[in-house]
Amino acid sequence: MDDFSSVFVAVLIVTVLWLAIFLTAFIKLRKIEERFNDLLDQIK
Amino acid sequence: MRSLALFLLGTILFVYGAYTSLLVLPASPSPSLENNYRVIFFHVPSAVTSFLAFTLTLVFSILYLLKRKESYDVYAVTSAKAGLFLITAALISGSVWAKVAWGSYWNWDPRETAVLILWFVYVAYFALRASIEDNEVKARNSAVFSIFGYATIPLSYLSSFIGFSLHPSTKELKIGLDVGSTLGIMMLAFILLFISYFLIESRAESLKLMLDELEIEKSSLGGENHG
Repeated sequence: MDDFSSVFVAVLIVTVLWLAIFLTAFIKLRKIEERFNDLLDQIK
Repeated sequence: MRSLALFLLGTILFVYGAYTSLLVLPASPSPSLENNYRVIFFHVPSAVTSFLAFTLTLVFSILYLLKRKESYDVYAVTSAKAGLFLITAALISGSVWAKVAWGSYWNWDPRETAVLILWFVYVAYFALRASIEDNEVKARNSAVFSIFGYATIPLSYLSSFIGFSLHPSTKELKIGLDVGSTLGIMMLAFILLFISYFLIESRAESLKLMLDELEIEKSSLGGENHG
C-alpha cells in the first residue's frame, strides 16, 4: 500500500466513525422522542 | 435545530478541509513524509477534540459531585462517549501514519503507549457504569473515577516531550500558512461536530431519564388503580 492509499484509509476510517456515531445518536433521539410522545398521549 | 445547524456547518467545513488536505495541498518535500503528512489533518483534530471532550467530562463530574444534578452526569457521560470515539480515531489514524513514517503500525512510542492507557481508562469508565444499576451510585462512582482517570490526559500530552519519543512535538513541526489554515479549518469542523453530537446525545439521554421516571410513575398509578 503506497502512502497516499494509506492516507485515504485513515480518512475513510475517521469519516465512517463520525457517520456511525452521528447516525446512532440521531436514531436514538428519534426513537426516544417517539416513545416520549406516545407516553404523553397515553397520560393525556 | 441548533444541533442540526452546527452539524451542517461542521460537515461543510469537514468536507472542505478534507478536499483541501487531500487534493489541493502539495505533497511534503520530505521524502519520509510525502503524502503521509496529510494524516495530520484528521489525526491532530481528533486528538485535540478528544482532550477537550475529556476535560468537559472532568468539569461535569466535579459539578455533579458538588450539586448532585442528574443532568451533569448526562453531560459528563456524553462528553466521555465523544472523547472515546475521537481518541479511537486518533489512535487508528496515528497507526496508519506510523506504518509509513516509522515502518510499523505500533511502536510502543511513549505517546502511543500513554494514549493507549488513556483509551483503556475510559473504556473502564464505561464498563464501571454498565456494572452499576442504581443511577445515583453509578453517577457518583463514575464521577470519582473520571476525576482520577483525567490524569491520563496531561500524561498523554507530555509524553511526546520525553527524549526517546518518536512522536513529533508541536515545536518540531514547521507549519506554513496553507497547512496551518487547513489544520485550523479541520479543528473547527471537529469541534463543531463534537458540540453538535454533544447536544443531540445529551438531549436523548435526558429524555430517556424523564421517560424512565414517567414509565415508573405510570406503572405505579396502574398498580394503585388495580389495587
